Amino acid sequence: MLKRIWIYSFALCAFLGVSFYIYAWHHPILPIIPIKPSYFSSRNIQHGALLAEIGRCAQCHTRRDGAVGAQFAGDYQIKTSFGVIYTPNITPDVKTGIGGWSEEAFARALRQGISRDGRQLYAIFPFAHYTKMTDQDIADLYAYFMTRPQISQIPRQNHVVFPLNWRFLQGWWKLFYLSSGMYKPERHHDPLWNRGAYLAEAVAHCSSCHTPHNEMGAEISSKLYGGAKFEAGYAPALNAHNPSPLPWSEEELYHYLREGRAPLHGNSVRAMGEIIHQDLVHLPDADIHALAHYFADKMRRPEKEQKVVEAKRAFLMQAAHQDLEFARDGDEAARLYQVTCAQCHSNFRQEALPQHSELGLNSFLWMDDPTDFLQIVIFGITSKEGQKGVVMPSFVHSLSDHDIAAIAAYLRRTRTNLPAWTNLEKKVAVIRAQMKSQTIISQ
Amino acid sequence: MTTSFILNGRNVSVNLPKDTPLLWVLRDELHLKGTKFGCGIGECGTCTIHIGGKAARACITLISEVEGAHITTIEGAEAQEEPMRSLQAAWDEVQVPQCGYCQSGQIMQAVLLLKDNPNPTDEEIDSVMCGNLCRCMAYRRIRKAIHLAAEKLNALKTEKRPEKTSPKQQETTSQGEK
Repeated sequence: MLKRIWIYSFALCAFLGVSFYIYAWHHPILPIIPIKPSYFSSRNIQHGALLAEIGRCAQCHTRRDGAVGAQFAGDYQIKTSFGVIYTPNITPDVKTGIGGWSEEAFARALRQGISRDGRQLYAIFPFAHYTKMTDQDIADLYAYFMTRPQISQIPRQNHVVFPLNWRFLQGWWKLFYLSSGMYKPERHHDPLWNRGAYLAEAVAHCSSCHTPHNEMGAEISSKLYGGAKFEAGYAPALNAHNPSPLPWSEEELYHYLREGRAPLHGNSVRAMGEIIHQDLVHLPDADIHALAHYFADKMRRPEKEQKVVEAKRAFLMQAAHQDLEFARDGDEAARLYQVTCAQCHSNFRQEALPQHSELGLNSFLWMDDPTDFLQIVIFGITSKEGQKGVVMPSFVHSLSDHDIAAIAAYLRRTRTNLPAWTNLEKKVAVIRAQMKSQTIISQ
Repeated sequence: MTTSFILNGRNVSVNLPKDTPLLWVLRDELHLKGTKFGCGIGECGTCTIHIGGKAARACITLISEVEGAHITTIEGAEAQEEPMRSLQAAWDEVQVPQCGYCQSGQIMQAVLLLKDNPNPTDEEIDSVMCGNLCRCMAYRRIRKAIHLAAEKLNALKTEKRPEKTSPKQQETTSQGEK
């Protein structure tokens, strides 16, 4: 009896194992003779270039540690919880890049995460998003990549923990987390919404950063756009749980995505600063409106909250009057704030002046983690981030840990009704140390 | 590291370590001595300049932060016409400076205050000018000069507005001129 159970169990496992292998196995696509660049029309190439900007291909496929590599030649180091991966070369070099890839192979990589030779690609590559792209967009991307300079570059060896270095096991990930296929427009939403959704989900893959991931490295679908923490900062929630004191209207989002600053919320810094000023800057206005329209819907808050917006805004703008009063009363932190910060950050009128970053309205002040706020004080904002051409100096050399902590605590106390931040001085010290060891990429 | 920016309307390029404070670039490299060193930690306002039309303390702004930005120092501020002209006139009338050291910083901050807020109250002046220290305690004259400059600006605005005349009056005038 026992023997039979063993035999049947073994047979079942073997059967499942073989079925899975068959599922995970993909046929290699024969290499082609590289297509001459002149074959592609300049219109397709240009549109492909735009998609590559929005999709941020260069950011992951260009080496940035140590010697800066040639664009798209790969060898970019990604540290994951299951090892270190180096991205492949996607220039049209035949031997070391994708020069021998047909459009079919290229499309399969984007839609299903399979390499030309049939190997599974690691799910670090966001094919779960790119799979939603239209055939024409993929064709345009192909045209763009096939007309780039050919660079011969072999990436460094991956170091992935056993047994995940058996690529076919990625099939499991795909079984659970990949639903391949083009984006399907939602009928009950208008075309502008669908265009925004397409750009955000299929190309820009915003949820990759703005959604928490599980241990398998996949986005947790029940917490879509719920925000996620990284070493370099926090990507805020882009759903109804967004922490900003005032809701993100479509107009605010448009200003933010187009100009890098939203008058009633704050400025784009670091990663978002880069995305807005280097990538989204290439999108036509209509597409920025589409993204704003889509995310305004995603971040919509309950009806009753909308009504108190004006009252809240007026209340938050009162802070400048308070500051002076507190400073005169002898509040040390208020005085420090007044002398150091007020000349740029006070607003006395009801409209928040765009160049005066009203701190009471600033999203960072309302987050549970003070890290993002502290980073701004410590790193400052360069002319290339936030509002282009406007600078906030870095206070890393001029204020002590104690001072920065005091200012942060003061602002949290006087501008918000949220619980005080804890361990501020320690957190400042940590960020300062990170800046010194340059583990955070600052400009 | 080479950094290029626009200084007082001119294109400028310098090759200095990326953590060089802008103050030293302006004074030592570019020989514009109008911007002064006071504390070096952004707490006295003596080194105030404009970056992108906004006040910044040059002693804590690093050269790496200003790539491509428009920078104006006290030397270039004069070219900005109003409210600078009215402010200079007021400063002269009230005889604001004592030793003069903090003055370029005071003026650079005050001109922006007036741009954003043409009719500031005492409280508003205090709040914005709080970061500009004056060891000679010329604060009362500074505040008086800012109020005077605001008055001058208002007067200018009223002058510029053409007086409304009825069509009949206009006819008479032109006929009279003939």
